[in-house]
Amino acid sequence: MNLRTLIELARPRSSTDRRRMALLVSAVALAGAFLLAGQRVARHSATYLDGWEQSSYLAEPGLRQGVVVAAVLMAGTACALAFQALRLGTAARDRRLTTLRLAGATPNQVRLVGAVDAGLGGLAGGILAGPLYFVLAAAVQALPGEARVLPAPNYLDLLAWPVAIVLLTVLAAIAGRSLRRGLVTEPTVDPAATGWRTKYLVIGLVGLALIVLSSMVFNLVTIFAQTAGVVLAASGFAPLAVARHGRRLGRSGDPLKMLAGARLLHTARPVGRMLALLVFCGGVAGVVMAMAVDLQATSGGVIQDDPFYLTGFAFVGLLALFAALAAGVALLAGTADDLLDQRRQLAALSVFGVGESQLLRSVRRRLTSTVAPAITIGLLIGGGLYSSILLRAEYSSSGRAFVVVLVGAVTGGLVAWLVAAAAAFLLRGQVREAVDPQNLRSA
Amino acid sequence: MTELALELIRVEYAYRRDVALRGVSLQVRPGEVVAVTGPSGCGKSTLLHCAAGILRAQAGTVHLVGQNLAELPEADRTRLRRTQAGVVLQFGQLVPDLSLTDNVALPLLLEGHEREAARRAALGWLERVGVADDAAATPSELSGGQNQRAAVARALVTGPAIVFADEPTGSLDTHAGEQIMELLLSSARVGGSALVIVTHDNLVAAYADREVRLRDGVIQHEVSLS
Ligand SMILES: Nc1ncnc2c1ncn2[C@@H]1O[C@H](COP(=O)(O)OP(=O)(O)O)[C@@H](O)[C@H]1O
Ligand SMILES: [Mg+2]
Repeated sequence: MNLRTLIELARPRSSTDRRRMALLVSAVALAGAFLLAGQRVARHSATYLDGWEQSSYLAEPGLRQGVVVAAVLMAGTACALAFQALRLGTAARDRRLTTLRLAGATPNQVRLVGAVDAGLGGLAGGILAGPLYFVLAAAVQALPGEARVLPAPNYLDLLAWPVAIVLLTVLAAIAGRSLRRGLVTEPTVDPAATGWRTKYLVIGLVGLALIVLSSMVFNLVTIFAQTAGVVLAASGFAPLAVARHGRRLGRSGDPLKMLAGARLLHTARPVGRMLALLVFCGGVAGVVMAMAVDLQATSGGVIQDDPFYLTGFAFVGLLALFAALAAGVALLAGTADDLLDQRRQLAALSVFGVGESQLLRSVRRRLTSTVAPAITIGLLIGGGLYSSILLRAEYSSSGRAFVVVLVGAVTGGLVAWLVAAAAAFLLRGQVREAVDPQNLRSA
Repeated sequence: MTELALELIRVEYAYRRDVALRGVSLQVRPGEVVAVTGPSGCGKSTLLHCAAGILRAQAGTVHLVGQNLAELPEADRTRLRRTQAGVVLQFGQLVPDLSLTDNVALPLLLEGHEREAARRAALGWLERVGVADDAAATPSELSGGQNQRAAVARALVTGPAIVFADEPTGSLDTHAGEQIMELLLSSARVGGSALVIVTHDNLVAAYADREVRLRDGVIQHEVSLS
């Protein structure tokens, strides 16, 4: 097969394919823009002495590293979204590629098609990343001094851009290739099978141990160890919790809950990963919340108009929000993909009266019953851990911080519930298509 | 005279470009087995979907166990369909996430039955169709034939007056196909359900009491076979 044939075969065909490609390209472009921002900050060396009006987050070398880490984390989040986009529509594309296999293509050629498909998305995203970064950097320059956490772009960015394009293209191609690994050769394994659970339990327990152990000592390392602990615990426990929740819904006897539960049980790992990200975002927001309350109490109210704190809180909050949105988009896209993939089965259910509104309710339950608790738990963990640090440092404000965290967690959960319910509403077109009797036809 | 299981009177249905049914009339007595045959694209599936109330006939009337579908409010129509009509498709109708038991119990649960009672009834049917050993398995773990058996169980679990089957053996090999046909016939007989089978397999038509031959959206001829 030559390159032309490969590109032809990898080209998006259906509207779903094109939507998947659009999501992939946007996510890669975001990742690239964050990477470019990260390298720009890393190359930045101006200090206060240069007299240039800039944010303290850039001027202080320690804080500057934090900005770089934040940019890299955001790039990672965008990459996760891109990876999720790559997985979309795999069932349909796998069938197409299986046909290719049957037509005589070797497994390697099939994998090559996967790599080219993803690589093209990476290339397009990388190319878009440049303009996106320059717009972002220019926009930041328009902010007031303390909020300018990105230096003005310079000519070296023009060199970094092609590097980013190559990097993103190669990464995407590798990811696309790896997703084709199981094609054809592997028999279907029920993803609800219990084999994976022990591994996740161990990861979760290690995370938990890390949190507990690190809160026994109190120094700067504590923060990092606890952060790592929360990440591990969330990644390990979230899929387990999703599976458990799914099984419980499945046993409820309510057929719509049963459908929602069974789907959750079968997607426990991908859904759990996104929920873990939501827990982490909630955690970050919880820390910011507790920190703000504490500073407010100990500083006698000056932080309201201290641009340093305002900038810090605003940017951390925005980044957490961005990551949470990315997780939400991935969840939503996955749900849309399920609806498409199972349309025949779902249409068959309409004979029994599971119509558009019932199915939409089932989908909504799937989203709200997972997203809202994830956010609440995250806020509680982040806010709780930070408040307990305050408590042990015997700050007088810790009691108030606990109360605020509690109220914030409940409010946050409520808001997340509303957002998830509204997002489910966005899927009504897919739901309608899924129950269309057209899907009952053979061939 | 006993009530007809199904009565179609001059039913018409057109898609955006194609007219699929041009005035089809058909009567099915309780317990009767009718084979609908005809070349591909002649309107067999459309006929079945109109009869089962999945599609709404654009002209003419459809009576399911004596009830005019067009005159029923949506909720009652759904309920009638759920309790009085079973549907078996060619393949891929079972929810892949659910075990065979839950798949078969689903219509009963939607009807408001208790979970345990619904599962017991489902298991009973799975036993009758010969896949009780795989009751806990999901469809992807089983063969096409086993899935079709479960689909037959799901169509019959509510004790419907009529079962509609759209090429139920079309994706199976000859042997498995014959088994499913026999299963459908015997199960329908046990439950006293009428059976409307769409097929272009002549052998299948031989099982029926009556063959209805469709061509270009009209009934070309009817043959009484029994
Ligand atoms: N969604 C649709 N849009 C347009 N035409 C359709 C659609 N579905 C079916 N048709 C047409 O209606 C006719 C009858 O189709 P169908 O009932 O599926 O026939 P059969 O089941 O006998 O093969 C065919 O000509 C087919 O092309
Ligand atoms: Mg057909």
